[in-house]
Amino acid sequence: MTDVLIKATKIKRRAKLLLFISKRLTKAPSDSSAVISDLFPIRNSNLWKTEFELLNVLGLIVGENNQKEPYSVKFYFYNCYGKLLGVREIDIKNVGRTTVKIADLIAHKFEEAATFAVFHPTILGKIDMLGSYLAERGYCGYEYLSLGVKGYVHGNLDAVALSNDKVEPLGNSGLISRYYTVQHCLRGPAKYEFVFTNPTPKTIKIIPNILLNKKKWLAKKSFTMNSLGSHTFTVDVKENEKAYVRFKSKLYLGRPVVFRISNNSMDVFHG
Amino acid sequence: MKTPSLSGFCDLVYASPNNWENRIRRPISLYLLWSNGNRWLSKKISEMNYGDETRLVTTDIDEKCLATGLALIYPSLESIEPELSSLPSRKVWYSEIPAWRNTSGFFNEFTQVSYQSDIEPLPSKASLLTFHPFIQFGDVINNLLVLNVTNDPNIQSGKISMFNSFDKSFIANLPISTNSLTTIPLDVYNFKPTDLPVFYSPEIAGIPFGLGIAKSGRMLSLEHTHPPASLVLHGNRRAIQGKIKKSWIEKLVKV
Repeated sequence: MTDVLIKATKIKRRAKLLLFISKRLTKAPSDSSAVISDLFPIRNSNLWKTEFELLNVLGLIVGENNQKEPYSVKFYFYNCYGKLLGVREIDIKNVGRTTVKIADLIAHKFEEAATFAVFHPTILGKIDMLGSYLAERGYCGYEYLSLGVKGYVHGNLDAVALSNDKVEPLGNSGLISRYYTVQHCLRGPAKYEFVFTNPTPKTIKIIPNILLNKKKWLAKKSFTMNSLGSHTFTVDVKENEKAYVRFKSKLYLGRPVVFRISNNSMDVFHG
Repeated sequence: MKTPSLSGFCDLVYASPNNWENRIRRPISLYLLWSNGNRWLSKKISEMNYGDETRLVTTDIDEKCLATGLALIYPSLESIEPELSSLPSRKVWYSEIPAWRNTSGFFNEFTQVSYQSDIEPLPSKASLLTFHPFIQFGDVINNLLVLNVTNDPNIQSGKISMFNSFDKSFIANLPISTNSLTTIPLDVYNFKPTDLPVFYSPEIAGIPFGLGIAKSGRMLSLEHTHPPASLVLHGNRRAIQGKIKKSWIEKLVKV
């Protein structure tokens, strides 16, 4: 009987492996000249500022950060429904690092922007990339309540590629929904904001579940995200309360950026 | 992790990140591991059942265990000897998609900053090259943290060299050690907002972090820098990383 159980368990595990990890988290772009970017969440209000640390990625790859030839980088802005609002081109200054204020780029024109992607020029022909693609995996800095110090977070998902001015979502999703449990115990008093982006070409439904004070998992109202769309799911945790959250979706990696807001300060990290 | 003026914490959650990989549910023991320079020493600190969470803070840990700025938490299914010649190899909390993580960070009386931690031991001898874009300006204290853990309990000293990535000018050599968390204050070097320092260590690898502390104490900032392989995706990233490092190191070493 034990042998039968062990065999059944092994078969079940193999079936899960086939179902859940048959594909990579993200796919390679279809065009070898493509460049890749994450989708970076924007926090822009009277409480929040977003800045992006723009580096000369091409120069860092080839080993020369003194970029004498001028070139520009394209910022693509999307609203929360995944609609492309527009593109801003930034000339790379010949300096080590440029801190870009996102509010300046979206002012008057793209104020409903919820995310952005940053595309550098193709590196094809400059160095043998051995099948790799230049990637902007970023560092976004978020400042809360003008505290004077930004919380940084790097790109979360290798979301989109650009080639010939065409954007291609790179995220994969599966046939069967799976849970992703955020590996962080939510501690009150705090407001937690979980920011999701959808890097896949499909509309994705996410069902949040909350476990408060180790009682029972409760399903919360689901939400959907269009391709390249985004959504913020908020949880308020009261003083002395503890909670876990998990998210059910077909995303291969349903990992949000987490903002923890407490005591007029904040903490940002990957969930 | 321990760094001047802040307390460290480690939040552990006994719950796998997905619902199909490594569905371990057995009670585990939490061990604190630290190096005395010759051996890894271990001490059982608590137990956890599936679904439990616990917070460990540096102020509750004996100072001698944090002499290198670092002590490790290891969840174990078996009891562990009090002295070890290398770190336990069994991965108990382990998954791949996504990787099983916990939260470490720092806190003070006002706020906290978190990082999704978990570290695999690094090779005893390996190089590190990284760019540091996290220096902030105004009423802020900027530090570089270098975290290193190896299987070998010896604490080897080495150096990390700092250069300006733009003109490759040499800035300083700074001491780092294996099996330690080294805190390096950066404000003495008077960086400008357009500067991107590059750090190179020929013999000790590590995970570098930028730590920003508001002088008011009301905001903390912690994020790791990327290895050069993160500048590209897909294809032969390891080989590309080798090319990037070689290209930079040749130029920096000349300086």
